[in-house]
Amino acid sequence: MASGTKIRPLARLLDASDAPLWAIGPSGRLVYLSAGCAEWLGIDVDSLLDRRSVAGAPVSTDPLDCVAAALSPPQGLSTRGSASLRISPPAFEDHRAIPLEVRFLRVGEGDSAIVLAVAGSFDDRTPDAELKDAIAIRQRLDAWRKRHAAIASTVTAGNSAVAKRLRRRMRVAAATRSDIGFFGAPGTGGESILNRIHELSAPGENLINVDGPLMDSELLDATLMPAVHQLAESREARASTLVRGLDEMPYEAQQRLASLLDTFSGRLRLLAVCGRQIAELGEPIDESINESIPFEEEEHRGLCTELIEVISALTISNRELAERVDDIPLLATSMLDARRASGEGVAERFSRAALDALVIYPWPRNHDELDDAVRHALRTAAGNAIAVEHLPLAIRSYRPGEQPSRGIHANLSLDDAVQRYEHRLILEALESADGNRAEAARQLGISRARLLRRIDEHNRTDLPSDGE
Amino acid sequence: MSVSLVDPGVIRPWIVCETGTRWITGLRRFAPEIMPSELVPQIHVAPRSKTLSMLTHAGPTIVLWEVQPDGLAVSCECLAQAAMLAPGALQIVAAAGLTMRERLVIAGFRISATIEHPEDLVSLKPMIHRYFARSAQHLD
Repeated sequence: MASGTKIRPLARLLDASDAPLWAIGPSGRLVYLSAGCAEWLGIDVDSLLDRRSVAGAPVSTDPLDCVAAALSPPQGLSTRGSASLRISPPAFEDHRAIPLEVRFLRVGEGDSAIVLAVAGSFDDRTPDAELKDAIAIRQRLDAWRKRHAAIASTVTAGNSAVAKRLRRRMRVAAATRSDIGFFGAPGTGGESILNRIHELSAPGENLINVDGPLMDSELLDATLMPAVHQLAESREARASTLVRGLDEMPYEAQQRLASLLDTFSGRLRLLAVCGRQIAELGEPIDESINESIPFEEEEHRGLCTELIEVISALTISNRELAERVDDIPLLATSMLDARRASGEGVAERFSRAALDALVIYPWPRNHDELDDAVRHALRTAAGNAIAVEHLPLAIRSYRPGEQPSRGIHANLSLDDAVQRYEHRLILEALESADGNRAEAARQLGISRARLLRRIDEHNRTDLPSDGE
Repeated sequence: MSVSLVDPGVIRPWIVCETGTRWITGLRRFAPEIMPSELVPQIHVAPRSKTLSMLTHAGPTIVLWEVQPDGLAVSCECLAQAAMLAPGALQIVAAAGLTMRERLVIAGFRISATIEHPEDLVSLKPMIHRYFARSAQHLD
């Protein structure tokens, strides 16, 4: 067996130091205490030798046994290897030792392991700035993911066949790291559902967000560069990209994406949100068309064959909210509970009349619009029930079956139709801005003067608006 | 052209959030080139909190965030807040000095492009045009 250097120089240094230092042998008994311990504890430390110092072990009433037990490391040290503890030794013969921070270190393994302990003041608990930043970034990412998880949970709630099928597909998708195509109208929660699936199926893996309709091949390369760089550096690296509006992505960008997916096959995963159902995508793009089209004149031409094949691996679709009428009361109540829990209002339920109004409304913007309506109602309602009058104007004023018949439409001029539509937009903007005309004008992208003129004109024309 | 003489309906706001003047200077130089000819850019400089409040209830708006390595966590917070307040806004990150790993972190938030130098704004012209064309379609 190899031997180390002589221990005496070390012992002299330790005794010369005023730092309390002690060692616990493999049997859990004190085998060494420095001069600093004597000073700190106010005890002849020889009297502590060979006394048991194990956390949780039975202790006699002997005061010296109690002091020895107080010097024990926390449980779990044998597993972790190091530990920190603030120790306040019991008073001994009128001497009370001041509490000190102690760092414990396990030296060796198994039955031959010993424990070294040093007491003093340390500054190692304070994370350095870089570590603090990394922790803050992680917290921010976690909060971002939690938000998507909450939205996904709400969107998929319900007892309808659509909701049950959606949850089933999500469970399958979450259990496998697969390319996925989500199909649903805007506002049906595709982005949040895919974010949640990514978190469950590939925790810790980087996810890059891509705004599909805005991409060209160069911008796509620039956007995916960090992931491509990582994938090129290591064969074990993996990354996913979440593309919003894949079916509206320009053709050349689609081709580039397909090429990257092929290059990093199995390691770069595609999660795609498409605004239309897969059956509506129609024929793949004619690949013989190579000329570039000015971006002002680009028209959506569907998905290229390669991407259809990729996202067909696993598809999830969500219907428009108006097709999930059975689920609307539960969805609205779920959104209400979540917002009330975050302190946005006091109302606990919807009145029956309010639920009726919610069920009847066609929800052109789907879940997003329902969420906006719940937020509006919660802020408006002062009591514990949300009534019809607390709902946004567009919802409480909607009357099904009052749309003009085709015959009447045939007699309606284009100017009148535009004027009615404009009037409805203005009413909704005013509602959204709580009557503030300047804010409403800003939302509509027009000047306040122009908005006031329009309101005057509508009041003079007295043209009935939709839904009233 | 003085913005006050322009029909407000064609004005499209840009918000620049930076500590110096590098990006505002670059944007003033290149914005007329990269915007659609029928639209007029209105460029604002604002600190983080003001930028977020300007985005509330905002129409089509482009935000240019300067992100630096020593403020990455705060920037991530701003990107997430902006995405929640104004999901329709276009977020561009000016990421000079960020490592690939740091760029990978911010790519997880709802940003549309990352650039390093003011001249890179020119390469965003197609994206800018598509963005405003798309936001006009939503009025139909």
